[in-house]
Amino acid sequence: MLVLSRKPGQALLVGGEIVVKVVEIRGQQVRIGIDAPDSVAIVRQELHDQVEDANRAAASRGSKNASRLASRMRRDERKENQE
Amino acid sequence: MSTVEAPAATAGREQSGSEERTRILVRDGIPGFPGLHDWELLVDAEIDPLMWFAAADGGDTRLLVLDPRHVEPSYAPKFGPPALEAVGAAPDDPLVVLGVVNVEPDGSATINLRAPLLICPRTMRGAQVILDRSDLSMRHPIEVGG
Repeated sequence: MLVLSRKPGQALLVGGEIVVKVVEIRGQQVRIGIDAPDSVAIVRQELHDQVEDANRAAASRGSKNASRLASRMRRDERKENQE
Repeated sequence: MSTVEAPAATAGREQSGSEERTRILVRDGIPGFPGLHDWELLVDAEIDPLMWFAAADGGDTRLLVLDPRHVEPSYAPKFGPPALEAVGAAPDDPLVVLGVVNVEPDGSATINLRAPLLICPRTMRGAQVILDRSDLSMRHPIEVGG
């Protein structure tokens, strides 16, 4: 990983069109400003990691549980329609 | 309640028995499965209203998905330019939104409303979009009778 030192107000240019700027340093927290094209998604790493974990957990479940859940959902829906 | 329609384009659509498969290209990959870009949406009457989103090029990797409106009828997240760009959608294109379902061994189930799967039926491209909405849960309970 490339590690650079920057002061508040200083910026970095990534890939020619993404600007990452150190806006403010307050105690243990750094506020960062990002200028990027509309097409670039910016996501907090920990959120991405949580989605990875959720997806892996979901993928490890078997189809038996899926059929059971589906039939319970259909039963509920039929009940709702009858009421 | 409205139900989701599988992408309507006929290209890349195959039917066998009670199962219908639609090929979906996921350019940016799915978190947790970054190397897999070629996926299929499997609509199977046996698990309706659930569907499978399965890797076409990755062994038996598959995710159970559901139209989130079955759980939250008012669910209608806004998708920004990066999400639309990822699926090649124009602003007016109809889009299919699905949530990844996690079924626990005890039978309880949750759906990820924070990071829905977005599919553009016109381009047959998909992406899992992480929404900037802390009010939406990744493990929203699916309430069903016993």
